[in-house]
Amino acid sequence: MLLQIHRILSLGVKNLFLHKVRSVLTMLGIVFGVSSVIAMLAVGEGAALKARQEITRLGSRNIILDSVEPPQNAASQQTQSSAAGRRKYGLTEMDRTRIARTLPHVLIVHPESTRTDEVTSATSQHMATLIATGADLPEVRQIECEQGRFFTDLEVLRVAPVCVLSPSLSRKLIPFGEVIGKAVRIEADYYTVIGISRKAGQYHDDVPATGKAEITRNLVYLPVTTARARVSDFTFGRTQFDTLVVHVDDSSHVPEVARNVESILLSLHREKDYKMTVPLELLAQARRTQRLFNVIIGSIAAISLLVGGIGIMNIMLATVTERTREIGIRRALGAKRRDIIWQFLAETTVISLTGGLIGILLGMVIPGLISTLTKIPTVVTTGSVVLSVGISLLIGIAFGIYPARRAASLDPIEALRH
Amino acid sequence: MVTEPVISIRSLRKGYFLGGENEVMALAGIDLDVAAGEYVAIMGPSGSGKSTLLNLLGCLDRPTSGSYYLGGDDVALLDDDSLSEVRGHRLGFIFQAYNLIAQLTVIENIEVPLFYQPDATRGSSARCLELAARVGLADRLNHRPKQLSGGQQQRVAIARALVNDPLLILADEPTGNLDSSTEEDVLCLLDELHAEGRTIIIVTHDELVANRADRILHMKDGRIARIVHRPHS
Ligand SMILES: Nc1ncnc2c1ncn2[C@@H]1O[C@H](COP(=O)(O)OP(=O)(O)OP(=O)(O)O)[C@@H](O)[C@H]1O
Ligand SMILES: [Mg+2]
Repeated sequence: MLLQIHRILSLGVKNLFLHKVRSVLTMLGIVFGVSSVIAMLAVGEGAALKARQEITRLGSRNIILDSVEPPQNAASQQTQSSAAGRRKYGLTEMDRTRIARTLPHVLIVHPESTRTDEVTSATSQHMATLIATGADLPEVRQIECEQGRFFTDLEVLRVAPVCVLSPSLSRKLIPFGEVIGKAVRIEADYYTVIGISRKAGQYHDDVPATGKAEITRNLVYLPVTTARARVSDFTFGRTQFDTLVVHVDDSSHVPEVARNVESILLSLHREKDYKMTVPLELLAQARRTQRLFNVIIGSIAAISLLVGGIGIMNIMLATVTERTREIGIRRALGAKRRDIIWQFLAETTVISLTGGLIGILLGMVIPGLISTLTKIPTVVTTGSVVLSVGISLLIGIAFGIYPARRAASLDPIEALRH
Repeated sequence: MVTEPVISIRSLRKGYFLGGENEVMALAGIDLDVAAGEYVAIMGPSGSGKSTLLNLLGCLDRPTSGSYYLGGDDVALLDDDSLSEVRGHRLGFIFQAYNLIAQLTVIENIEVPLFYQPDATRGSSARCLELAARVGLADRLNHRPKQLSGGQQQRVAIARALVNDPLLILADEPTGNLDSSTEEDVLCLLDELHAEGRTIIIVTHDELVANRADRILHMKDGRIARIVHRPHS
């Protein structure tokens, strides 16, 4: 059986080699069909992966509330221009306690606010992003310490003068010796460094370290109470909290909690000076978009592969006519109809499979090029490769069967007379 | 001792319908026995049914009526697959137009019948080489048919006809396309095969070719009109 398959396939390969140009041209349809499918799927998968990473980073058990400056009508902007500068807006301590105390399934309501300011050490001075936050940050935002530790609830409560630095900032401020236990200065006050965060989490995007982005990599985490008591930008800021992260016990409760949070905020705020983001909903949205994208890709792929398949069928029909005499000879020498069918099917299958494999190689190279040239992430999945191989095999058989049957149905005497 | 005839045919008829009522009786009742080792020539004017008879003998076609026993088996009404099997296992064909496969080399052409016999693979390449040597083409194994003369091509065809060790060799005007000297080569080969005891049926227009056979059948209008036995030399 295996020997038989080997014989038939090698005969097919041989016949294809006898007509190299024609075989290659026939193959091209499949090559382009398959490579475009794989490339498109890779781009789609890359986009989906990026979306998923984004959302996971935000946390699927989190509901994120951001303070938003409310829209002001033209009149009030004119008359209150100086006062508006000082007018407070956004999320308050009241919102925080109400959500934390009254809603079931809420574990933590975690505050975050950011300002930029100068940080000074014994040797240098740098602009940095100050993040005023609670002790729960490591859990809520999945941030870890590479050295030392994060501040505790007690330190937050006691308004302790401590801070955690991002790795890049700690290297710049204190390039030599032990960092933990050293002090850095912000405005007039000194803070003891108790930890260095790991290079991960929300504020650690891999952006090139230039200009403003430099500041976003220079991070100082401060206890929210300390920051508000000592750093003037926090003390006199127009918002109490830039961000509140509602951390829920299980992702299945997120929609319910989100509804309840919404109604609490509606009752506590006269105007819409906050924004709610539910990463879990974004995830669902991303999945829907992905599915739509896949359907579109699938249709394009189906059409291009159909065209490729018809190309194969067309060539094979021509080949059958051209090789009528050969078919007659083989039949006279003992070939059964099914031997002839296999012979032609082997040729179409070899064409489409070879085309498919070349297409896969091409389809793996193209996304790599896209990624390096445009920074669009791409992911070639094994699923898409397996799918392509299967589809090209199927095309070879589906579009080969008609020409093959036609060849086999020839009457040997007629075929010999050809 | 009565040996079973290789071929036994009774009232074999073959008609072609040409639409409507018209039917051409290409064979109008043939009775024929061919013993093992016999060399039979078929002659007759054009359109007398020689090729039609040879196609039926070669299991390439089915008769309209009548019986055909080949090597003792009824093959008149076999289905397509079984006919293919009979052709592959028991028959060897030599055609006027050689009918080699153009893309294949000499040795590959000789191998073709074995390709369709999964049980006959062992030792086959040695056999093919031997046959190629026998027809004098040992030094042309990797040539393609186009690179050979007509006589050489026909010798390849003869080697191919022998590769499955057939019960019966059928030749339809094998020398029709050849000049007289290459014709002689081919006929000598057939004589040799005959001397080895192979059963051969040859269709020819040429009296000199027919005269090498044991028996000459003269056909006319789809019937065997006359049989000439030649004395054994
Ligand atoms: N496929 C066919 N359809 C209709 N008629 C046919 C067919 N094949 C053969 N015939 C007819 O059968 C008769 C016998 O034909 P056949 O080919 O056997 O003659 P032949 O003796 O081989 O002639 P030639 O010496 O020219 O080869 C002819 O009248 C021919 O027209
Ligand atoms: Mg004829």
